Amino acid sequence: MRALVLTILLAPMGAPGTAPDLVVEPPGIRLAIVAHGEVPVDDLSLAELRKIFLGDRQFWEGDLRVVVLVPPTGSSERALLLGKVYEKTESQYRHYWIAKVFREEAQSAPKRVVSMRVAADLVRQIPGAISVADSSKVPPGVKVLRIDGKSAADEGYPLR
Amino acid sequence: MQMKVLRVLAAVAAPLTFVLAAVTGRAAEVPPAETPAAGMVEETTYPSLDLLGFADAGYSATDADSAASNSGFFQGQFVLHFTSQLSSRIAFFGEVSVTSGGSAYGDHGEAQPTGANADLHRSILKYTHSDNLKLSIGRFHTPIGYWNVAFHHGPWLQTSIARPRALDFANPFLPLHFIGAFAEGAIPSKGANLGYLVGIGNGRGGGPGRPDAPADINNHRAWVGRLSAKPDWVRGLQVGGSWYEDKVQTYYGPTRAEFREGIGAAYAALTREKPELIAEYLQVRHRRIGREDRFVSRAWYVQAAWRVSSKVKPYARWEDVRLDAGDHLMPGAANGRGWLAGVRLDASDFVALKGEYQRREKDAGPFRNAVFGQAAFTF
Repeated sequence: MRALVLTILLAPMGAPGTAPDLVVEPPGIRLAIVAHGEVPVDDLSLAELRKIFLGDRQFWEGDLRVVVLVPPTGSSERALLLGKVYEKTESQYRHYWIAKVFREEAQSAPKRVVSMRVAADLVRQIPGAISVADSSKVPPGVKVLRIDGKSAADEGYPLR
Repeated sequence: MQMKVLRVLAAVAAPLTFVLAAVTGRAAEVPPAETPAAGMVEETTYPSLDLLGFADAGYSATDADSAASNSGFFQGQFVLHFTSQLSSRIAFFGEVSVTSGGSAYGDHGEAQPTGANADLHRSILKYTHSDNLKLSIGRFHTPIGYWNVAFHHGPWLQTSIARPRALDFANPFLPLHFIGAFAEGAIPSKGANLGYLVGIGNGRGGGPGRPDAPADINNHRAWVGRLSAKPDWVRGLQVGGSWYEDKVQTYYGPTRAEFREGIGAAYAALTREKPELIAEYLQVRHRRIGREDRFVSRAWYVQAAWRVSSKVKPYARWEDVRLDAGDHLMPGAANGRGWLAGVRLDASDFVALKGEYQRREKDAGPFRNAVFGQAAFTF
């Protein structure tokens, strides 16, 4: 018991920027952040992006609400999104949103799209929408946001 | 949650029938030129009701020497949580519980309840103006400290079986519910991610001896304020503090007296799984108005957990409640030190099996031992 207590108390806290150990190793793609053309930003910090996908920021500007669309279960895009942005496993992701709705901090979890093609269509159509795409398959008609000043092709892009 | 997922899955069975329900209300406001392709997005309809439930049951055994401390199975809470979007900016939150009489996980596992109480715990109408301002009115979990808001009637949400003693449902140490109005939101602060909350409402209806606040006992409203931060540089960390104040009237011996009640709280919670750390300090002050009588009671706990695999998370908690011996205003409040240790096994994404050992003292009496098993789930 004493060893367990010491293990818990002395365990490393995890440095900022590192994902929890349980996160599945993301696949070898780069994740582009795509948004509706009216979204009034071109560049987001990774921290700001996390706030958006975690539901802590719910408005872009004025009346324009953030509409988060997450990729379908089992897709490479979803795995990378969970690993790099949410830093959670599927289980932790579900637990997080149940708790957030329970605490009245959100109305619901983000809508999950049935395919990446549908995600692209919805991002084009819905003002305020934001989602993700494989950077090599960015659909036409959407705005691609830079993250920490970098685009997906740049060295040091964080979502890879 | 499952109902919602099923509904969404059904709706998106074919891409052209994808339903985007109740996200923002903007879909219905999209100008005609930008109207999505037919069948792509369905107009949001209000109200859009979602239902989420929590329940638990378990087994307890203790060496406490009392008539109510036989070992046996117990039925915990059965809680229904309602969320309904009423317009693009207005939403309703409700919570109803059916809970076995007494505290299922109270001191020394004494609960072998046979009855059940149905209660409305939350009924909140919330208007969201922006990230910086949200207004709400109704009945709330009192935003004192961390645990009372983060977990409350969601036993599946919390790692341990037992709540901290100061926050036990049967303990009048804190006013656990609050009827009133709140303003809350984010404070522009870049990476510190500060948040505020201020509220005014009824105090404890029956004075400080009551954990609940069905109606104020006088014409002096209670108020509560909270500041919190979720700094970017330590992800998963929340720190905050709150202050609650009220003027209460109650019997003090044979006479009726007025007291000023102040409750301070400070907390830090690291909600990563490796580790999970929650620490909270609570202080309840009672000062008799016009006299020198002052009483200060304190409580704290520290809980630590570490997920060793996707299924298994051991945990431990140390806690202490120190009531001011001269304070007659909290009859029946728990008093004493204790610790507990347990293991949470996540049998599925929505079912947790927990086993817990507790060792606690009560009112300076001998330490008592108790073991609990619990199946907690959300549905």
